[in-house]
Amino acid sequence: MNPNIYLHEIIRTVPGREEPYLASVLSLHHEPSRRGLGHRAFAQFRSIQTSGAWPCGINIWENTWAGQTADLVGQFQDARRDVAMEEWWNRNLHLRRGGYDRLLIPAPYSPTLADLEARGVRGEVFLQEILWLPFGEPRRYLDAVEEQLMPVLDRLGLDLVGAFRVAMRPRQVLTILGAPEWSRLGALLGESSRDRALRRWHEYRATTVEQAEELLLLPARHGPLTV
Amino acid sequence: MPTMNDCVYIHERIPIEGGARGKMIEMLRSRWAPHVEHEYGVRLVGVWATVGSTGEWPEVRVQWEMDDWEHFARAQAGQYPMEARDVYLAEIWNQALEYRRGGHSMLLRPAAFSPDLAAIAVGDLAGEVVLHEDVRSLPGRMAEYHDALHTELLPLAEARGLRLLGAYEHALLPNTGMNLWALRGWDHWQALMEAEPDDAELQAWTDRQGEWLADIDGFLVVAPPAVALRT
Repeated sequence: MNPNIYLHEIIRTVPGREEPYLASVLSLHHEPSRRGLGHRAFAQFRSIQTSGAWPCGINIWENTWAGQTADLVGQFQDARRDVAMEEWWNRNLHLRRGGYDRLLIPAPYSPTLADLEARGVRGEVFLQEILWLPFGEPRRYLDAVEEQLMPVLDRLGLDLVGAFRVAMRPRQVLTILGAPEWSRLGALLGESSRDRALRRWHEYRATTVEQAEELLLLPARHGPLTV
Repeated sequence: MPTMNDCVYIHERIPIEGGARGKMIEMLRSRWAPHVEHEYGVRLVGVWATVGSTGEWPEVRVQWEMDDWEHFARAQAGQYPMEARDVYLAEIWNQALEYRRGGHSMLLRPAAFSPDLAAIAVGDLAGEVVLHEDVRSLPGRMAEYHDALHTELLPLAEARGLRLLGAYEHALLPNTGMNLWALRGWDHWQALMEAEPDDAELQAWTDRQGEWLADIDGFLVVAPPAVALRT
């Protein structure tokens, strides 16, 4: 059981400034005045021109509803100003133009940051998918990830980094897979028509997923999942 | 709650340039809204900062209320073209270019059970934190969705402390709508989120929405205290 929630941020970075932006984000979390805040850097990625929209950066923070609420109170009420965050925000406008965030609710089996660290999960490349499913299907989809996809990932040497529902967006699911080397991602894609279990998985997806956005991602240079 | 709401609404989504979200909100509150109410009788329903952790950022949302389509036409004719008819509005519109370059507006008509601004004030329905829902219905099913929202969801929502600020359909685009729900505050939102995985009644409603809806996207917007936002 994973008791956390996750803040997932897709940032429209200024082209060519992806790594400086991601490093500046991490730097904020070394700010002495902000130590003790509940959220932890779960993952940081940057886009590449292989699949999906680019350029962008992605931050994922592990938190709790109580911690997330406290962060938002600090942001939106005058009583608890987060001055370091305000100054950082206004100082880094040359690195990013805006973004789109989601709050993610993990499937029970989705690993925590501590789980990933304990298993030494690192990757050269990651596959993120945001999927739009029929109403009522997201929980079943996440069950199918565990039952159908994860055994294949284990067999091919890939890692499940996260499997989530999206708070307040009842049709959406977000998953992230990690490959220690590009060759393992290649094997997963190459096996999709040959492997019986993968064929079954893709048949389910083909008849269920109504819309999808995929991104192949590199780990941020200083991020937690970098090889 | 009124039995009929004939008002007309304009809801604006305004992407913000840089760190000017607070400044845009202050301008709308202190200069824009008093002017258009005084000159045209157009009432400010709310001006909100989108909570970036739940959606698009940086962004401001603003909503205006007019009595009916006749008032709508009179108010718009009075304002446009601004350069010719309202030099003050033209000036602050241009001043705001420092804060925003464009936006996207929706012309909305309310569901009959949707409260107008007067009912919101009388019922003390407004709140600091608001759940905004963008709604896309299946073709031709918006009216049935609103019926179900009124008779089935509203009692569930009110039992959980949510207050309906508005349920609307787009006046021009078919099968497009928007809901606004007021929360009691941040602690209320936290409690709702923590309870969500085990709330079987709401889960059943959520899953049933596929009878009427193609999609629904929720995110939070906040009416921050004056000068609280410096980003």
